[in-house]
Amino acid sequence: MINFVWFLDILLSSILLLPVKDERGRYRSFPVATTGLILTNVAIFLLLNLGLQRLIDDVDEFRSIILPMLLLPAAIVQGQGLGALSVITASFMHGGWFHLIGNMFYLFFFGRKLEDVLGLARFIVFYLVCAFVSSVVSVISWTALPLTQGQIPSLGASGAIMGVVGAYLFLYSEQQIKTLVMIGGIIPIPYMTSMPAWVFILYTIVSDLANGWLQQVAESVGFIYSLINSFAHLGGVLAGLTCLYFFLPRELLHYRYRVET
Amino acid sequence: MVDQVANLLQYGIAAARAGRAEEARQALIKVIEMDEHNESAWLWLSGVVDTVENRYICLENVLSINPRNGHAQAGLQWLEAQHPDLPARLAQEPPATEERCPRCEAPVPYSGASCPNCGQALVVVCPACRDYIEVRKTVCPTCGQQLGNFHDGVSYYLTLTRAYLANHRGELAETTLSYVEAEAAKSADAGRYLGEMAILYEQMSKTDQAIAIYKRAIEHTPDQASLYARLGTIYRRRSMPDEARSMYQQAIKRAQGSPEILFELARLDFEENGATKTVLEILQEVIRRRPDHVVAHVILGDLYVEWKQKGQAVDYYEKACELSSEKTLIGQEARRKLERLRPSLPEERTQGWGETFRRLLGLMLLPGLAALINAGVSPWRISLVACLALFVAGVGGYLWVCAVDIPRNPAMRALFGPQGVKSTGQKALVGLPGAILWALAFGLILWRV
Repeated sequence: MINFVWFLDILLSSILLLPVKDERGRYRSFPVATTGLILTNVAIFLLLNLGLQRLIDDVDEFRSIILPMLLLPAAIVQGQGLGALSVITASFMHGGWFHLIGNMFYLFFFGRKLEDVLGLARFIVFYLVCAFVSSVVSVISWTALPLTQGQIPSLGASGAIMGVVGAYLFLYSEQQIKTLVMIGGIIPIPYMTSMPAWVFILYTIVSDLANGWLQQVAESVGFIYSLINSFAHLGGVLAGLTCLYFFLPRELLHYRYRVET
Repeated sequence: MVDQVANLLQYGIAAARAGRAEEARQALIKVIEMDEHNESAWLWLSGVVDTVENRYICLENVLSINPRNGHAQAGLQWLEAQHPDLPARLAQEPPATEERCPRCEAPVPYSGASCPNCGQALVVVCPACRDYIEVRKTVCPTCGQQLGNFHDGVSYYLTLTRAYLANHRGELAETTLSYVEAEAAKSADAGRYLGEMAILYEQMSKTDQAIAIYKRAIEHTPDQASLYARLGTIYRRRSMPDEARSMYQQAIKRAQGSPEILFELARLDFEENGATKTVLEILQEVIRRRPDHVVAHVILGDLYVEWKQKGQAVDYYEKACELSSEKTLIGQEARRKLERLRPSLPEERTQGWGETFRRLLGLMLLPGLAALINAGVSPWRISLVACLALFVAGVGGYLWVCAVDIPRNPAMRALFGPQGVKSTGQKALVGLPGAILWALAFGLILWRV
């Protein structure tokens, strides 16, 4: 079983799926919130990594500024640190260019579609709700891990973005998404494949489940398997699929399952 | 027509008898224009014209119609006795006349409809009152209808044709178009004028003529995309898809992907092959280029209905409804199709308490989760102050929901009447304090009150 899951995880993590285009080629209005969130993320990344890091030479001092802004599950459970505020700060910070670009690409693709349905203000609230739910799941899961016990801080918008992805699945599971497959995350296969949204999202869920399970198993035998916060990703998808119920207009909700595809 | 001639003749004779020569002359000339074999008109006209030469011509015309007309015979005999050289003079000289062509100034006969020298029409029929008017008049003296200046040439005749069409005078419109054609041939802008002429033929449902004229227009201006597009549309309506497609493709090549032409091509494909990926892609391109194209949205909806993807269809119909007024035909069609796919829900389901609380819960998730995290993910550790902040967030959230999402919920109906929160002012009055309260409460929770 472990071998199979391990193989699956390696296989899935060696492939990066980049959504390029779906059939929903129209928007009601310019996606202000999505664009704003992307710009905020990029600005904060540049500020911290290019601005602040250069201003402060001392690495320890830099860390002491940054660390409270990250999501530290152990600190959350003990009621220390910035608490709920750290959820927001952490979800606007990224560990590197690759992390930032990958996340923003997903947000750009799925965020616009969701913002189109929810509108500006509700979309922002929903995005933050996903960030919070994914953080709660992350906090509970990481503190339950036997080895690290929630002592590893996490950062990134993945949780919130996976919530947006989950909401997209809820709304448009039948959509065909033209996807660019990247081997090893960098080498693109020069053929754009088209896959239904549910397959696309299933890939991310299976990948996170496999990774999360292996993490748990690995820690139970005394080593750390991966630092990817798969639990936050799963929490985000869960939030996207469930919390959207409270944000959708009644008509959309009522007819969602009556519109067969 | 016969009645009109008889009436005019009667009027002319009465005027002549009353000594109103100019009035009589004009009326009788109009009679002759309508019926040039009218013996009485020629005879009475001979009595009101000014020159001997014209009188002689009129009487000769009477005799050419009826050689046994005694009045005309007597009149001619008398004229010849008075002016013995008259027949010879008339045989040598061009017809003596006071009338001249308003364009080329060449002498024109009284009864002429157009100038024999330059082809200029001399009389026009008013599109509104149908009276005969000299071409030089810019306004109809009878009814005041604007006629334009005949010196404008093609534009004048095009305007006149449109006016005839608007007044359901198809025959006159067609006659006038022959002047357009003649004038357009002389113009440097022949392609454009021929194009406009073809459109008028289309409006008159004379598609054969329209096709012929479009082809001539294309010869003059081969880069004019709209000519190909219109020709394509005629072919499409005549169920000639190959010719239509060829024309649309030529048009697209020249107009660099004009959304209107792309749309016509998509419609042709849709009519011919049904819902295909190609139609979808073309229509999406149309919408990308012209996001307010209502018909494209409706057809996209139809396309998805055919594919049984009703969710997508609803989206497109909804957008079409947003873009169009319910007074327009296309707006009504979009609404009918949307209603068939997604009948409106009862008021109590969309504006009731249940719906209000569902939407409020969405807003409460954020401060609630923040309070939970601040309490170390243990709900029983949420502080009293945080609970109070949550209550405030609830009140603010409720007002926000009332202003934005459920404006006709029972409480708002009780406060503002059956329409609930409707005007922008009411929305601001309710929603703004609500949003501020909610944001303040959330902020307080974040700062670990």
